[in-house]
Amino acid sequence: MKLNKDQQQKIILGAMLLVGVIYAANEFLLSPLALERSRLTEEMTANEPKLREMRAQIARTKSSEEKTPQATNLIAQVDSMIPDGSPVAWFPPKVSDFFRANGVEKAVAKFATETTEKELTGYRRLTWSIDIPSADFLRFALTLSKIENSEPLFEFTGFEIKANREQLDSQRILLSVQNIIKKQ
Amino acid sequence: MAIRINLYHEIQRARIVEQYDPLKISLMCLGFIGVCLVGWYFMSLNETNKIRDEHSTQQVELGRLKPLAIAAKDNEQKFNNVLTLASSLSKRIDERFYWAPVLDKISAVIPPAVQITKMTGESNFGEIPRRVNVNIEGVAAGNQPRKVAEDLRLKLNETLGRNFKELSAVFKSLDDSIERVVIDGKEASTVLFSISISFTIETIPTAPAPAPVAPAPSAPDITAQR
Repeated sequence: MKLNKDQQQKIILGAMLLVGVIYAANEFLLSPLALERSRLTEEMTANEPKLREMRAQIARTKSSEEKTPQATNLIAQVDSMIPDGSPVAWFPPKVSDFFRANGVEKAVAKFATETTEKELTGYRRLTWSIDIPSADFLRFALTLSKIENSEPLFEFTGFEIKANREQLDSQRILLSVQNIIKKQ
Repeated sequence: MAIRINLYHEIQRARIVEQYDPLKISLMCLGFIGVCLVGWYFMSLNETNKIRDEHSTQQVELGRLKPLAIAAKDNEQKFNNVLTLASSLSKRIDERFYWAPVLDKISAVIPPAVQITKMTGESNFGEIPRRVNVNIEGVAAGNQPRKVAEDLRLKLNETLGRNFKELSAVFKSLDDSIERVVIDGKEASTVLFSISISFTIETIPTAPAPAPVAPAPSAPDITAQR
């Protein structure tokens, strides 16, 4: 079919209209929507890690909070085992009384050193030496066993047991013990 | 075959021309494409609205969680301090080293022909695995006092080796003594010995330490004869 001039003009006009409509639809309708979608998606993607971190933070804190009463209880128990006042005032009599109650007549505790421990905030570690001039080994060992079991805050780090040449059935005993106390 | 003359050919031609008018076809195409574009627009709009809703929900969630997360972060440090302290205290108590079982095991293997004159012990506080050193000095008596001392060392090795790791029990010294003793009415020669024992404790026992029940080290009951 051969197109005359009028028809050719009409086709060109139609094509121009088509191009114009597609351009306008893209520029004023579809493109702004696509841009907005892209912006919102980017924003949501950027917020996702923040949300995850916030949820994780809340969950971590909740988990810690749930464990806290048990921990607080343990700390309270430990605190209740530490007498009030200066340890120099209560530790030597406590040790002396303990040994005396178990048949070891004389036990003299002397303060040696003090260490602050980073792990135990609010507490100090004191080292003491205990001198027992004369004791029967079995009685001493029994007392040591009892004190190790009944005093969780004590730890014996060393000992020296020497036979008394003058008194054959007894030994002289030196102990090194560490205990935890609260910072004043 | 009859000849037919079409007197309407001009009218029919005009109809065909009108029917295939390029402008009309173009406008129809344009209309179709326009409908497609409008459909596309509404699909895009729908998709965009969904994303807007999701974004809005996320913003609300973000706004809700932000103050909670800030408060949680502040509280976490406080809770963690309490938990760390409790854990350290618990660890310190659980990982204590008990000397009583060691003294029990040592005193259980001391034979009557041996008398301990000195015993020292030390543990490296606060370190895991914990290394423990015990030094035993004493007098062994008998017809073959060196054998008595060696038997004691072997027994210590065997008994403590069952309970502790990396155990070593070695003589630091083993010397003949000029002193002689009387055992069961018989005169016997003696040796002075010093045994160094060291061992490692991987996990500290948390069970109560039993009290020693065996004979204790005692001062040497030596009837010296020069």
